[in-house]
Amino acid sequence: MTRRRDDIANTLRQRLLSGLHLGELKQGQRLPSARELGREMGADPRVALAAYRMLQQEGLVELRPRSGVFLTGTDSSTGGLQRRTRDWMVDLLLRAIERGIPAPDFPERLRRSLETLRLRVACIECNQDQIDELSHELHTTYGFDVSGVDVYAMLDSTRLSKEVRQADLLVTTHFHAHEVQPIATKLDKPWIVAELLVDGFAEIARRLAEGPVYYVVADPRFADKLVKIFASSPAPANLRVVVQGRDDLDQVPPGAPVHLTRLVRQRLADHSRLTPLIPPTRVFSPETSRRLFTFLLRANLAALNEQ
Amino acid sequence: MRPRRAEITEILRQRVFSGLHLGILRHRGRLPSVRELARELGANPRVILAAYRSLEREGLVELRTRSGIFVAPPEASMGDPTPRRTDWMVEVLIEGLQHGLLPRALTQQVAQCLAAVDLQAVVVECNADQLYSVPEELQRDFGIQTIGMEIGALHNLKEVPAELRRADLLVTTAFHQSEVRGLAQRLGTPLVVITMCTDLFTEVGRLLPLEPVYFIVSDPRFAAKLHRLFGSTTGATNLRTLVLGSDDLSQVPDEAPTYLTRLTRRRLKESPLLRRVLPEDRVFSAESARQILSFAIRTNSAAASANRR
Repeated sequence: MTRRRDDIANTLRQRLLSGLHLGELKQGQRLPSARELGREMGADPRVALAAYRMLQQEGLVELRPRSGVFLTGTDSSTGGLQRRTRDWMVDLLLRAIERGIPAPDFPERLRRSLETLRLRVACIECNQDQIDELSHELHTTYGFDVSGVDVYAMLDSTRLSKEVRQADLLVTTHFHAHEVQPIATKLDKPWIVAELLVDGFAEIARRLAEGPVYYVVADPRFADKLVKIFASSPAPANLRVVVQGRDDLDQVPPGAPVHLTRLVRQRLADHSRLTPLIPPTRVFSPETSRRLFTFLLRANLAALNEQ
Repeated sequence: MRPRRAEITEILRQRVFSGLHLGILRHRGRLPSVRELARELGANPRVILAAYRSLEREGLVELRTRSGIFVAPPEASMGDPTPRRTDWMVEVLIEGLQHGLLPRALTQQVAQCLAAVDLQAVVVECNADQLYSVPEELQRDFGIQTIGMEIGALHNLKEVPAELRRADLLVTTAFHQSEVRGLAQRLGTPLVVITMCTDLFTEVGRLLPLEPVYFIVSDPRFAAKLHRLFGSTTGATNLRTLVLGSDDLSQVPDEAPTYLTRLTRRRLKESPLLRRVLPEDRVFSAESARQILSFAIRTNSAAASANRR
């Protein structure tokens, strides 16, 4: 139970902090109750409450008896930043100083290490939903210029498209590694097989054991792929994949657990009924983040050294 | 037998993909043995092995002789895989994400944390060498504008000088903390009593029992302080201090370990031809650096959030 509590607290902390920084969440905003949170995360409400209490001790949320849970976001006693974040910044600047980078120079040094080059990434996948999701994160988090490439269109055409030929990096997932590898080798380009954060899928797999879970997608090819992914989960028959534009969205019962891809959220004018309470923010595993950042920094530093 | 092998390869490929997505399998994690799978799928072990081999060629699994079959480590061809000096920044960026800070926001936040207000500090010390090195490092590494003030100037003060009243922070060493603490309390100014980075002193302490160690300083008071500092160590008589401007530097043997204070380095137009100059040392201990950074970040982020309101 402690482990599950810590998992939920970690997920929640990351989502709340990202939401705050990105302006998607506001300070003072009301958050789902422990009961609602428990339902959304597929956990016992007592575990969800324990996770909220942990975050309350960090000053991130406030539990007001008989009125609800609220996002405090900042801790007034420390001024502006979360205490955890501030302590971490002290730590990272110390590491910079130890490496001979004076603290005042660090932000500029970091900025130049990330933004000296505009790097082009071809994001190769077999369906619109995943191409959109991966491309969005590759752009917003890593600052790449991303082109989405349909893997089958790429394999069928006689000549590789400009997006692939001119890319500095190819990114794909396990499913298409064996198709992308020969192309990367032929073009002599670096490539990364992105691992996705498993919590999302693992969460759904866990909830399938309890009852139907709805997954709304835009591309029927992603629908087929989801069925394959969950084939080895405990109760695959409980997965209900709904294709926007083909299937009736009203078949999703109110209050049922539902997951929308980013592309569906973008396309649906009003998805409030289907939106998760606290949206997830990231799709790549830490290992993949590490590879992407390493590629980004090394390319930029090589360019800086040449200048 | 061929179609059966293709079919089984596809089943195993899907299992590995799905397992990785669902978090059931991990990279480098063990997979079922050929024998186990043959039993489960009702197939010839040779067919299973052939299927595993074709997945190995795809880079999805690894067959290790006498130890089993494993999910391959995440694939990527990134050129030179050796860690570089700059790779610590990768860790910084990943930790940033865990704090909800995308790289761009991280850069901005850090900049704001250091530069929202122009912090001013006054360093109180008793000798010119330290009154040079401590402010220099505060300014360079922490971005805090700093002036040095002689402790002697504080005695018999009729009026507190403007620089002291304006200071956001007072800094001194343990030697003078009792005197400076009183002043800090009177002014209501935060005080940091620094401890020095001990790398140099440790190295000198190691050398003293073995051979003479030379210090070339600019202020005789710092020379006296060094003798007090090392007074109780073994080989204390091996400590030789020379004062720039009054002692003859040519008496330093060519081969003797020698330390030049930062002020001395700065004042010397030409460094003496010494073979064993001890490397310039950092001034602050990690603990003191942490205290100073905490102070700077707290003050700046408070100012930044006050500005937003």
